Amino acid sequence: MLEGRNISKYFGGLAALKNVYFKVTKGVIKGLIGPNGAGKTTLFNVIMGVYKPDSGVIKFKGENIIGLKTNQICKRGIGRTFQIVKPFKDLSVWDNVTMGVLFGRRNPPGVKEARDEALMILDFMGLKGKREVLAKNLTLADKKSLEIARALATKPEILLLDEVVAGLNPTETINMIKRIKRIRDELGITILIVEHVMRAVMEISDEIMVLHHGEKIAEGEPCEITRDERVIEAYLGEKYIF
Amino acid sequence: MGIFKGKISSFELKTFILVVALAYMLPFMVGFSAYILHVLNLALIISVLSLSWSILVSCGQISFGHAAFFGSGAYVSALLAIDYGVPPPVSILISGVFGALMGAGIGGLCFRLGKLTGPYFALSMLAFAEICRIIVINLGPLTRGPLGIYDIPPFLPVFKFWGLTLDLYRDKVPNYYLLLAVLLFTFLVVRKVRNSRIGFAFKCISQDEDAAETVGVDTFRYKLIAITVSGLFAAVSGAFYAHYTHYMEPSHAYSVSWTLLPVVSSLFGGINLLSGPIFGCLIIWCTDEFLFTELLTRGHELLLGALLVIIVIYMPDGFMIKVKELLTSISKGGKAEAVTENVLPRGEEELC
Ligand SMILES: Nc1ncnc2c1ncn2[C@@H]1O[C@H](COP(=O)(O)OP(=O)(O)OP(=O)(O)O)[C@@H](O)[C@H]1O
Ligand SMILES: [Mg+2]
Repeated sequence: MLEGRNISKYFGGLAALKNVYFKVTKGVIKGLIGPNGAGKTTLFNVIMGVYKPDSGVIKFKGENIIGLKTNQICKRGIGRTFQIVKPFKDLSVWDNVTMGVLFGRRNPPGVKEARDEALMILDFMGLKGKREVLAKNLTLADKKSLEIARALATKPEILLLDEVVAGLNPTETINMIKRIKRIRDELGITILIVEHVMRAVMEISDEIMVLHHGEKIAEGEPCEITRDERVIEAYLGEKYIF
Repeated sequence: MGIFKGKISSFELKTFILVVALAYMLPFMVGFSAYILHVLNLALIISVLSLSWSILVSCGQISFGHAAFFGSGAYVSALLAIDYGVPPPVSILISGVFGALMGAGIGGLCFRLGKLTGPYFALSMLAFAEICRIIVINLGPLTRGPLGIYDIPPFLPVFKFWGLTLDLYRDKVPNYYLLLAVLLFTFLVVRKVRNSRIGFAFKCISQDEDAAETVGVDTFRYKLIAITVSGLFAAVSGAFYAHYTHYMEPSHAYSVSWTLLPVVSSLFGGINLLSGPIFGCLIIWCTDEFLFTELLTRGHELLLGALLVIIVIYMPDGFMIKVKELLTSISKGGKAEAVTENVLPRGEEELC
């Protein structure tokens, strides 16, 4: 469904991504892990067309998407959340999501239907009760849920989640993991998720790939990854989290 | 309360009609004083300019160069009318198209090529206005250079019908009604834009450009629309100014005042309300002219500055928000409703 070959991205002399190959098949939840500065967010930005890679191709449903603008990539069916949340602060939760319905699709509905649909998505993400709250007044957990809800509103076929669990308390974490699973199971959306909270990634991912200094060092099922020498080395000092 | 929700309340409609009716009665109330009406006429023109500036702000872009559109609109319309005999109603329209093209041009440069944001965009616009001024000064054969243009004809020539004379040269009253109609028209157009899909896109962009792009808003396209519409109305206001004052020269046409007045008006009245820039402008302009200049002939700007500081500190959202809160609380029988949040179009029907 989403496939990238030979992706490289340099910031000055720093290689944020070096010849990365990745493939996300339809219907899976794929984890993307790696220490800080490994290039995970950069990979998301490259997929979304925020940065143009210095080399490589990215194919979505068989078509090359490099060179497209972010908004076009969104309309083709890739949704994304930000590691540092970026809600429309002064708009209500409901309006935030309605914007996604109104602008993120090729054939958007009218305002009224958009609002109705947004409400259903809010219900799904557990934000219905807070629909009139201004986005800036939400808790972090709710802001992260809102990020996902707004991305869902654009009707993505694949969703890129950037650290949606980090910073949440244990109960919130459990809820978030449940929701992510439901997004795949009930809405049929493929998911690529970046996460530092190992327990969470290990639990929800069908496959995991590991980036380190911009290079892919491992890929496979969660249990394989935990045993991989290079991964353990990359996370040296953080080994205990496995 | 979301920005999509809510119909225009009958109260809002009544307020609107009342304000317009009052505005139409105003010449009678001031006893047709030519001086007062002249001040008001200028205020009306600058209100249109402020409103045009606020379109761009609603899309999150702050321009420090609206003098570029204002001055060019004035020049294009004046030259067409004088040198090519184009009737002013037509030349004003052409100057509007010219302003729109200028907006699209500079917008394309800033937003696509330069990817300029925030202060970089604001300052580029400042430079743009200065470049326009220098071009006009140096294009002597076409623009008459630094000497300026005299005897710019009024909107309509003097003519008589049924024993009545319409003299837009001398008579301030018909000018007042003309300019009021222009302001009203601009207001209705801007309101329509803000309450449409385009306006919603503006809102997203002004909140967070990256997020807007990620949820599918073509930020470049909408910013281009914003600066094009903004340029159009700014140029039209400049054109009306030229035909109203009959004289234009480069330093005046591209004066930094035309850049600052919209900023100040919008700060004063509040940028989140559509009526903010209008009333901000009217009140600033009239207070300065009728009160501060009387008190302090020299240095009345000082009082204006002090007033602005007070407003910014105590009413950061502009005084119109307070007025609206007050009116709403009166209409609700003392039950004040906060209007500071979601003040933008709350629905496709909302008025101001
Ligand atoms: N716009 C940029 N300009 C310059 N360098 C950048 C830019 N964005 C990222 N980098 C650098 O690229 C490297 C990869 O950053 P990236 O944000 O992709 O890491 P990450 O894997 O998401 O890390 P984290 O887990 O901390 O979020 C880092 O060294 C970072 O400093
Ligand atoms: Mg990151």
